[in-house]
Amino acid sequence: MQLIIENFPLLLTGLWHTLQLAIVTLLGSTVISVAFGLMGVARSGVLRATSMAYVEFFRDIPLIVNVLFVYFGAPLIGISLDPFGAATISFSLWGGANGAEIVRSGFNSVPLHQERSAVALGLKPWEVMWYVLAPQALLPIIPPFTGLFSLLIQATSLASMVGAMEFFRTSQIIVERTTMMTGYSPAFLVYGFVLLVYFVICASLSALTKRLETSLSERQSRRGGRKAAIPQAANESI
Amino acid sequence: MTASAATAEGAGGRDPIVSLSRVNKWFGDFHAIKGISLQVNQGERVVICGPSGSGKSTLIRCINGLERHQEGDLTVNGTRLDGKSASLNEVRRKVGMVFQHFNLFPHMTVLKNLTVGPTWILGRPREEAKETALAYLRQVRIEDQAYKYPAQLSGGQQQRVAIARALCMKPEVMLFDEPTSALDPEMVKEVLNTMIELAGTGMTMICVTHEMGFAREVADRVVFMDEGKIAEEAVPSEFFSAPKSGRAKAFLDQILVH
Repeated sequence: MQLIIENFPLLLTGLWHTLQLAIVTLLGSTVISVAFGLMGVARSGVLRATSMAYVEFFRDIPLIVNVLFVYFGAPLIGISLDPFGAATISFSLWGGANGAEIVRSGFNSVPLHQERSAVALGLKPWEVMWYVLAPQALLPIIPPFTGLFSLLIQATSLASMVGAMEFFRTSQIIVERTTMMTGYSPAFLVYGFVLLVYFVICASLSALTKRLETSLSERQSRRGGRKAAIPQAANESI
Repeated sequence: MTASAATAEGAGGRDPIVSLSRVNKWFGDFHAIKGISLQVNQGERVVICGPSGSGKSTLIRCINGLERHQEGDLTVNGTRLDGKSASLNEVRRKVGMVFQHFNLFPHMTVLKNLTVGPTWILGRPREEAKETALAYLRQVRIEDQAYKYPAQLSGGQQQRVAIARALCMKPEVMLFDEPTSALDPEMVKEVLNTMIELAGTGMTMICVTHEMGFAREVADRVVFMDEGKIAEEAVPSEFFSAPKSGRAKAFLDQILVH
């Protein structure tokens, strides 16, 4: 415990960087998810194929390979990325691919006749999307999306692989430094603390969305509506 | 009875409001609509019937551009459906459609279902749209359900809301695509009564239905379709008592037995 308190400023810096990584990654992933998810339900075959190719590509390569590839690959096309940039880009690409699949299946769960009747009423395509389809797609999208967010927060620890000074990396440094200085390894204690912190972050995120989800589905059942079918959770492997 | 009644009767003439000329439609290799020509005059009530797969639903969907025809001319209320979105919007604004499965928006109240079209598409003020909506809900006798959600209503009530929703757009023509075939028998009557009352207001109606009692009572003309073509066209009394084609005879035998 002494050790943790002594190194608190360093850990705090790491945690701050982790939170920054997470926030940028979640935002980036969400934007990509919505864009490619909507492309996945587009009428145009070209858009659908593009979305499918993107989703397949980024879901089929391990995230760590993706991170290294972006970090070491970017200079080859003349872009130099710092660890933070490389990590957020690669996480967002991966999260976006998995999220796009969730968004797509959410929209696919809305019956086709809903679109038909909205079109017959004379609504324009974006109005059909925004006022009729999106509100109905939201409920089945939220639970798997929370799962994805949680995975992404955990995945930020991989940024340490390209040298980003995030929470996990700072704890690693503490373990290594202490081992070198004192000769005994505090790994169990330090990583235990790290585990606890990640757990608290992800658990509070889950609790938050659980509440959102319950209030949404309560509103839905008050309307006497069907409970939305909840599609499979996002790809669990990192 | 309502504003739409006044306009329909006011026009009074016998101009074709819906006009199809040698319309063809394929789904891939399947020739669904085979060169159909049909004129529907203002204020006319036309019932389209025929065996399933004969193309009647496809035909009615072509009329408001939900399905696109590939050949022939289709004109609604003076606008030719040419595949451009301007003509589609124009036609859909003038044509109300009622579906087999009601298709109300489940996340909106009944009232909101009725006001989305007028406020978003016609740009009517919210209050005015609400008053119009309540007036039409009164007409279909369901005013007291205005603040409920569709899933809290019976099938018959939902379908009457769907009719009111279409009417709120003040359409020139109403299309019905088997409006009663997804309903429990005891609810069929309330929906048919609503449709009969609507016919009484002078609304131009094109109904795909197997309700022959309805056809007999309100239709000016029965169009019998078979294999993508119009096999027979006659006034109801003639069609029911002395169908000319063998297919129509067989169809009537089958449907009237039940």
